[in-house]
Amino acid sequence: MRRLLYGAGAVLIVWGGYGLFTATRHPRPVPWLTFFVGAVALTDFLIAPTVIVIGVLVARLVGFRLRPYVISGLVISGVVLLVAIPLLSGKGLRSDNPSVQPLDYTRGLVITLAAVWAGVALVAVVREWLRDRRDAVERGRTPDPTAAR
Amino acid sequence: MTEPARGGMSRRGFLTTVGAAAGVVTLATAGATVGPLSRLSPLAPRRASIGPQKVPVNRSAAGAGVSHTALQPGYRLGVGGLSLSLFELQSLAQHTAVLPIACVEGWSAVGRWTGVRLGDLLDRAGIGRDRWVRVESLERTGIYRTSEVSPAYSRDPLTLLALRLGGEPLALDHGFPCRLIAPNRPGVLQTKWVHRIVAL
Repeated sequence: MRRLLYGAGAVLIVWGGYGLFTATRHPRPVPWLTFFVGAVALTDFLIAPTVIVIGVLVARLVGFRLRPYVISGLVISGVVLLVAIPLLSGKGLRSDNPSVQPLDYTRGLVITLAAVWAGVALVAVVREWLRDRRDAVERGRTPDPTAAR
Repeated sequence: MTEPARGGMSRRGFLTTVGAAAGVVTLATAGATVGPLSRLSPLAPRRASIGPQKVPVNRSAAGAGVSHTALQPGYRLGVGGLSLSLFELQSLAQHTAVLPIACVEGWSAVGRWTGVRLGDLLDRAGIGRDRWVRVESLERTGIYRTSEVSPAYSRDPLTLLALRLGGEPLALDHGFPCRLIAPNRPGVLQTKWVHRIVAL
């Protein structure tokens, strides 16, 4: 069974490789290879280590109560940053067409990240306040097994 | 078994975070196509109101290599066997349609287009509205130099060969002297700098 699957996979790979050189009139395998290998290399050697280092720093520096909110903020900020990088790079700008990427994207990124962290702070304050209040109410009551979390 | 780490993120928290990230990115970019959101979208690669005549441009006249040919005073539009000058086009019955340029790159912007109904032109040229036609641009190269128009478009009164945008003569980058504009059609097929329409 496993050999059958390997065989089917190999056939598909060969078919894909064949298509790479025959599907268009001007095959360009090098850009394809850059993208194919580059995406893997980028995640394995840049993005994953960066996330790990940031994770260790957060675990060391941020108290456990605030940690989930900080992680949320960092994840959202990371995604926003990935979306903003092509815009910040200025690639695709054309002198003959000012309607392409017409905004100040550094400013845009700062505004977006500020809004994200303001939102995270608001959620953290409201949720922790609600939790404190609930805990206080529970402490005031006689022990009640159904109220235990 | 090790104790689960304290202060980590719960499964629900993680899902909420992923949802929030998608929401933030959507809001930060959706203004490129959802007009009312454009002020809320500081990371939109286009803004509907920025461009010549307040409509963005995908391919400029300079980029298409037609800056010179599109401005020739001897311009004529060929429709089948018919040949019309810009003045003659302007003297035909003019109609206005509010239609978007909806680019496959992900932005869109609405314009008020005025010009001659494609169906009227085809009738006048004896081609009629029931045949496929090919609209050809002054562009020399590019896969979107021409586009084919089905009878469904020609019969639609909203399908125009537009001469004006927002009440002004079409900007060069929007396809001066005239461009195709039709409802429910990808932006790249709204052929600009039209100089010939042939029956297929």
